Amino acid sequence: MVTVSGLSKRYSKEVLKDLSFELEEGALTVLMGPSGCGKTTVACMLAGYIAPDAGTLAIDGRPITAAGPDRLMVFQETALWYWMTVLDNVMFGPRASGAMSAGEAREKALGLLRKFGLHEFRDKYPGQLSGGMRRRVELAQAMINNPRLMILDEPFRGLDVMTRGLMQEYYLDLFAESRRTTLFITSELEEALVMGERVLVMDERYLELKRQLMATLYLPEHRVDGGSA
Amino acid sequence: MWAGYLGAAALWYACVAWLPLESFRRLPDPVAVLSEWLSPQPTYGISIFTAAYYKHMLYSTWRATAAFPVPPLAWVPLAILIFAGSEAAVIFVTFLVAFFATTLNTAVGVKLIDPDFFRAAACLGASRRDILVDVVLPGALPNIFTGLQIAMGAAWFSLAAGEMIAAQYGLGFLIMESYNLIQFPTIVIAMATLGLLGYASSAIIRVVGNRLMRWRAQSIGFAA
Repeated sequence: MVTVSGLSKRYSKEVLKDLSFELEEGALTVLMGPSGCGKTTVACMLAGYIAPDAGTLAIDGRPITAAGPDRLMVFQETALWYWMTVLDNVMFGPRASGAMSAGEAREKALGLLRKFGLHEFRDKYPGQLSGGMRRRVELAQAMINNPRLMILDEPFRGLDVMTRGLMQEYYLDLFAESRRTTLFITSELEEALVMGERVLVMDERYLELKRQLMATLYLPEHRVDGGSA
Repeated sequence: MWAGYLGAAALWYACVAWLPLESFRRLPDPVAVLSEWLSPQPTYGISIFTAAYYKHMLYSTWRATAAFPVPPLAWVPLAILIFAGSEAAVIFVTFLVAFFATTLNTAVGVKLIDPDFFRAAACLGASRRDILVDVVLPGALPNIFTGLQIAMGAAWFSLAAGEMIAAQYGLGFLIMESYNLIQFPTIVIAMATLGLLGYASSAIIRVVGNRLMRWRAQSIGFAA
């Protein structure tokens, strides 16, 4: 269970104010709101990249104070290292953290690439792949670390409509297999409704009212549970 | 002098306006450039009336003066005194030029690395050493090699000048001595040799850079 409580953050202006919510274990929760309402700031705090001015974040009661492989974030813009091959990018996590030997990491990475339909591109560089393929590599890069929490910050932004639809389905299938706790951030209602079991709606206009989180929608019949048709 | 400038501008205008070459057609003529430069509302946002123009000027001036408050060749007499001999003095001045060009470009290269690359590495459990070896070095590599190319050119330039002032041997010395002895063919031979050596050293840097940055050529489709 991920708990966010009383989160506030100010840069040159107030970005977050007294924001609280919970992410249920094994659920795909969407955080939706207009550009600039603080969604990415929340994602970065959950990933441990930035600290709040006030409030707390915790996973299973353990406070989040720094970045760690138990929480993996997929960024708005691709963060694949363009000087590494696809395989090296995917292997990086377990190799760097020492969680697996080089041989094990390679085997697991190759398995994931096969599953993600990227096996034949393992020796290519990110610059040689399409936008959708890069996103799949990033998902493989995250999955190999077996994180407790996946944070996807508008991961399909900038993709064309067809690829975006395919990637949404792709992630939903992946999620249905693993039921890995996921926070999916988007600014688009349609995407929120397609992806989320639960949608948290943020709106910066409510900052003054100390109610930045203005609605929680529980979607009654989600395609993850109801099949992928 | 003004006739020369006007002639060059006229030639430029003629090339753009009348030459049937596609590559020239894409270029602006001098009138278009001047009217943009002096426009209070420039189409592309840069003119003498915009703050951005002066900001760019300020940055360039700062960069030009920050690293080289003293021109490298002005160091030669002092270097001879410090190092007690012309050999070390010339090497010192050459090093000075190359060092700043490489270091500044490396610093810019590191600054230009996308912060998300560091975040992604931290998120995946990378240590500081991993980040240095796997993110900082390869991420800054294009700028490091740009710096090395510039440094190599600047090094040959200051080497030749330094040798002319304070050496007993070397191609710069040979040019100066041949000039004093009125041996003009030797001057040209030494100049051409300097050019060839400069080209060869730049080519070596380029080849090493291309080898280390294979991803760059492949990503833009220059290699299979």
